[in-house]
Amino acid sequence: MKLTLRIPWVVLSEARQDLVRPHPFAYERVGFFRCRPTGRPDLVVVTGYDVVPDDHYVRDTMAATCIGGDAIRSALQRVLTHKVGQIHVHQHEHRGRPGPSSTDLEDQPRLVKSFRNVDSELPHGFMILSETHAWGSFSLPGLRRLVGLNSISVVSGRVEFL
Amino acid sequence: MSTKYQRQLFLGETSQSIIEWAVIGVVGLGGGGSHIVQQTAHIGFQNYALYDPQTAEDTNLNRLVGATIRDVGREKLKISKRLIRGLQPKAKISANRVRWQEAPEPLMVCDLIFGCADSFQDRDELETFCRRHLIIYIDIGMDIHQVDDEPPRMAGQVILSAPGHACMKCLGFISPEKLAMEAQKYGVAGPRPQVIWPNGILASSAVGLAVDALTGWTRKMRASIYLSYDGNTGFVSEHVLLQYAPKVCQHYPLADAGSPQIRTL
Amino acid sequence: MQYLLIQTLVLPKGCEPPQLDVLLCPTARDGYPSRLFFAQQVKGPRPFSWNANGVRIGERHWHAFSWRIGGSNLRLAQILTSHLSALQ
Repeated sequence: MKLTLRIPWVVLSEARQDLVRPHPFAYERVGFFRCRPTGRPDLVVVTGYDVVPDDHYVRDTMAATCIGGDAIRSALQRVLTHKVGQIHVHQHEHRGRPGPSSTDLEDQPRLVKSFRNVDSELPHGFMILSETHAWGSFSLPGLRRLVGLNSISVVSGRVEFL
Repeated sequence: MSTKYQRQLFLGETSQSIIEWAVIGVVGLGGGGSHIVQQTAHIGFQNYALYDPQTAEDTNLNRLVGATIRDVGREKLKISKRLIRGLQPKAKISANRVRWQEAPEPLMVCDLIFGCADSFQDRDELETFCRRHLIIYIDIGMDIHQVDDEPPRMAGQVILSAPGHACMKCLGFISPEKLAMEAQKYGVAGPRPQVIWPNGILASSAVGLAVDALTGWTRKMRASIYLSYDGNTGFVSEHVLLQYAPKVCQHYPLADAGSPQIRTL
Repeated sequence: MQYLLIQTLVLPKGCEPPQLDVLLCPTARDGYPSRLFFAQQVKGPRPFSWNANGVRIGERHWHAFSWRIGGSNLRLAQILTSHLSALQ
């Protein structure tokens, strides 16, 4: 199974504007999309975006970007309080299909698992955006393995496919 | 590349592949929906979710595009499928001979849904569904009224309702009062006057909006569109209420998209 | 928007069916400040204007009649009993 993700243009735009902002010491910013399930297991809708505040990043010599416990606790709290899935997202400044680093592939599934531990009935995942495309891996209710992304539709008065 | 679509390359380099990739829903395959099916098949759409539980009657033949006299008694779905397959033999069609509410899963994967419903209630539900699933909804409809000895007044609308932007309630097209009045008249309505040419005008406008929403060819796509058709003069114009529409929908916050949260007591 | 599902709620005396699942929407919907949906249309002490029929919410279909309750800052139980008062 592969996932179709729908995201409102205004939410994606908010995320992109946040993710390109420089940070005092982190090389890249990260953020979290809120998401909700639909009546189909292979379709998830994004309903909002949460900024990771500057002071929720920690210095780490081994990684370009590292967020601390506060950022993760905030995300976990959103799952609990608002009943929304969390999709960790960051952005690569290039055109074409982005890909995960070895750090992403090692760390992100653990983060997704912690969201799933709070609420396994919600979708969670991690995503990388480029200027034109996206890559992602998701945990869906009822499925043990992470699934990839089939397509992303960016929706406003138009539909654009990433 | 096939020469079939040479004349529509002005829509953009990638337009044809977008059109062939997109999934469209058509709810209601009567006077309006049959026009939409015909036009989208000509344009090259390959993926359809169609809904209509009815069979064609002889009173439909004055406006049911694709139908012949031999189709009386045939499912409207079959007529639409035949029409599509005649132009797009490889099209993938999810054909649902039920009310869409009874089998909504195929609609969920649509990129765009055309609503050709008869009632405000049906429109309201379909728009709510589209907002939950972040799907663009395009509604068409027409009506003919007669008051006393005046000539009949023919009117119609095309509304594009996009997630986050003004909905049909924001635009004043649907209201609790209209829904309540309709509910009171339930079962009393009787057959409504219908003819083919206003359906054609409305359907053509709707298909044009859909192609623009998918391809972006005009580079000017607006998020809220409300076109008003005056069938007595032939004019299609922007509805006056559009200027009062909020930029952000007051009724369907984006945060409410997705499955409703139901807690069991 | 959140809903509260109450399974096999016992309805006021004289209603048919006597009990069924109901779904309470305690926030504004369809032009009402709150709405109570029923798993099927209910026969009660008076005729109702069922203006939501077969509405899909979640994975089920629901029905609601036109009934507007008053008051503000009501608790969930108060909202529910206000709606059910239509059936008495």
